[in-house]
Amino acid sequence: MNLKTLGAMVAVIGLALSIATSATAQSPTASAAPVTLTVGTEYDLFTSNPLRVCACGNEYEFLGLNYNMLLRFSPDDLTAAPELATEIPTKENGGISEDGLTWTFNIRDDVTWHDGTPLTAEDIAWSFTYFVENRVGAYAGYLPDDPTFEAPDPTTLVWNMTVPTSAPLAPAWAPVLPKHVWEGFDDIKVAKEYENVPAVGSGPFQLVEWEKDQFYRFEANEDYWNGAPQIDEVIFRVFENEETKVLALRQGEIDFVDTVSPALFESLQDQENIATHRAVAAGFTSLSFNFGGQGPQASNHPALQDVVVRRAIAHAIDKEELVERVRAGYATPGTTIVAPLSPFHYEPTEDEFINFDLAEANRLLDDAGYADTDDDGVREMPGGGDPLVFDTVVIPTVESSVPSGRVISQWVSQIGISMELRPVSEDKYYDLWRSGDFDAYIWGWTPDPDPNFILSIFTTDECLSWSDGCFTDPEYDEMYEAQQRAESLEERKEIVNEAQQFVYDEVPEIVLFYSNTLQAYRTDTFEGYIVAPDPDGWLLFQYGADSYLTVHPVSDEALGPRGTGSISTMVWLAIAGGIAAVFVALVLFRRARIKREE
Amino acid sequence: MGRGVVLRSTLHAVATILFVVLFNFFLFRVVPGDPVTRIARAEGLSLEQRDALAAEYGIDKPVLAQLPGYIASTLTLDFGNSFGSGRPVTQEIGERVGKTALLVGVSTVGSIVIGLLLGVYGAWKRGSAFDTGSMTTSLLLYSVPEGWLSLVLLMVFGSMLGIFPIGGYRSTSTLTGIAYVTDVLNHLVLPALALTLAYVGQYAIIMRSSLLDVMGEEYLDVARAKGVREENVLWRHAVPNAVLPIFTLIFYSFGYIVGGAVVVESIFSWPGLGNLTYKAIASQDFPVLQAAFLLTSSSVIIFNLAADLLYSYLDPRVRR
Repeated sequence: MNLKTLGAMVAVIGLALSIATSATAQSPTASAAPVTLTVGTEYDLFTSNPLRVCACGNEYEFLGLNYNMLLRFSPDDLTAAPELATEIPTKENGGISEDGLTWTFNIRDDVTWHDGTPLTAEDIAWSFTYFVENRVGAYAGYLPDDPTFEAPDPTTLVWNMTVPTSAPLAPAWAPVLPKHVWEGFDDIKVAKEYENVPAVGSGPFQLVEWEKDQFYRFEANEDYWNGAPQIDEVIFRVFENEETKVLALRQGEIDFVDTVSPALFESLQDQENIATHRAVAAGFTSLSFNFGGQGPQASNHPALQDVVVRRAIAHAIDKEELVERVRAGYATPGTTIVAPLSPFHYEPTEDEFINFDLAEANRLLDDAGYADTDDDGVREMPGGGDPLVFDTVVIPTVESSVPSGRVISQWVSQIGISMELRPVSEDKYYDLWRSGDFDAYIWGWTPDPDPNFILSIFTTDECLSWSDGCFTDPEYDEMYEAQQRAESLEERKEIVNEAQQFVYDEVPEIVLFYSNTLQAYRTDTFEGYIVAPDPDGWLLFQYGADSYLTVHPVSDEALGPRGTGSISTMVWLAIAGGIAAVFVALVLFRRARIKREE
Repeated sequence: MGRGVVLRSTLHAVATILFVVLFNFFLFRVVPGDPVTRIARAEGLSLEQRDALAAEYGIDKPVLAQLPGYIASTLTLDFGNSFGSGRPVTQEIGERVGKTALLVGVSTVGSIVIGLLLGVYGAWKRGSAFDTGSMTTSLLLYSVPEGWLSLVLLMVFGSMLGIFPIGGYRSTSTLTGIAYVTDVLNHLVLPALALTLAYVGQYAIIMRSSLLDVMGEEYLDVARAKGVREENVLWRHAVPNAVLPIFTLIFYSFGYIVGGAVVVESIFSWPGLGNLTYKAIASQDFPVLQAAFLLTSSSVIIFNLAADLLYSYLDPRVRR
């Protein structure tokens, strides 16, 4: 066969190919595409099973979208507000019995599960009983002191307490699960293995698809009792690093990013169609001290048992300067352990305030007898014992830990204390924390809006559980119990303030700063984000699904599928055809050349 | 090829795998901390809940007492559930094997083909602009960190030009058939390009020096004297002899395909085994590590065995 014939064949094949591809080419019709809010995040879901939830991934956002609570966090100030319960029980309205041991909730009658079954008080009673009996880690703490629950009729829930407590008003951060879905498992071990996708709940959205390490998709619940969402879907796309996440936002592949670092946040300022938001955080970064108590192998420094030494260190830290150096100004200097975001936050008075004062710090240590007897710049224990050298653990993967450590160690060196920084991996840190092999470390907490949790970590009982350094003080333990038993909100607030003062004065740890959460979003796709809690809170990843119910597209023009790339099937086939054609031509050309030379 | 050789090589490979299995056991446990403490701290478990979890994971026994159970479960391929997700390890790995093989497989083939071609032409036209240019470029790409290369590609083609999607192995739309294939292909281009470019230099350099060695051989002159065309001297006489030593490297590379590529997978959010293994190391997810390490080790060892056997078959000097 000669070259011309073969050439003709290739041409015919190429033509047929392009006809075929244009026939099969499909362009998705814009009107059929669902209205999807795409959120970029670095956190996948750790689990889609509510019984295995920890704060490891974005589970709490999942719970907030997919389920309802008995009482929710008010978007205004994070106190308890009605959700499945129609009002807050009080003694006045008869919701709380005289002895404070029986709380009665009136439950809505218009709620249905995603599978159409009506939600009743029985579901709530069953869920809470299940959490208590099986000691489900994430929820049992909100249902303390062995309560029992009853549902005498579909719209009445009774919470029977053994001791009076204000726990329901925290509010109890536990999702209400559908009894008919979860009661059939033999035991909790089996229940924990249930995939739960799609997740049957009563919330405004339902988890319908989870592609691990890629994305998780929620569909809107059109029959939601509090009004249908104005979007069809929410998709959380998982990115392994924030640079890629931000690139995707700039490119328009996603609509929203949560938690960017200060540097990337600044790069997003004044960008077309992108707005940024700076929220006060719910948590803090802190320098925690070790008090021993983990066992005989604990190696904590005796000087840290003295409150004078701890207060001196507190005086040696310039928190304003720290915020500038470590967070580029995107944080608030820290004071008490209950963050300013919470309605229970206590701000120390001018007299109580521990200000940055190196002279005062030195004076305190001098007066207490910590002298530098051998003139090496480091003080020793009174009477010339161990030098004040503190083994301080910092963790490179924890935001701000290492930079804070560096800056602080410079300051304390000016008051005769040597903080030796030991950077370790997170796993090594857990090892050291458990054995008590450290003097101090820098990490932090993101507690609930309700102060109960963050107050609990300084109690004696929490040693080797939630406690940082096994701080122990019976007076504090009593205060903690008392605020749990408080009969009225005012009484509780008073005790919680006292507890915060106690921690501030005794310095078992120093709250360095409350980091800002930095968020950014596109202004040309969706609008209607609301700030919750008002006014310093977040636009998404709030204590509830607030923004997801108000967000809607900016224009009627549908967005169409995103993140697919612009090389269509047609082009790929053309490329493949082209490569094949070139290859065939080369072979033919070579053969022809060989023939001619022979 | 003698049956003795085959048998001996195979037994050797099996013994190596067994040794690796044993070695891995201690390797995992050498890292400080343990999987339970991490979970206990994150979830605030009480001491008794912590102990119960340790018992469930089988790590409450002294290290050597865990060994028989580990060996038994490895040999029966019963890896249990991941400590992290609670799902069966075989499912976790199964979901990712295909995606890893796709990305790293395509890239490996790409690196090898392009690298070898560059090396061949570089050596044949030694000293030319092409030679200097291709060597410099491929060395440059080889020395540049993969992460940086990936980000640059993302910025240029994903962000500035907007041709390819930014991250992921598929878009979030539900697609089937041809549309799905196209979607994955679009997502594959940039990570595969990054990985290919990063390793092209490796093959180019080795091929080039190997061919340069061969080019001085007398039998090539004999072939030319016999009237063999220059390009056949290259492709039918020089290259086959030059490529022989590279064989082992090529098979080695294929063996590592299931190991994944941690950095590239991370930047592009490609759900591969490299990423899974890295996370499992960080959280001491023993079941996943057990399976992943076994997979990679076996793969490398088996491909090595194949290379050995094939080599002795192909090289007449070794055949007996």
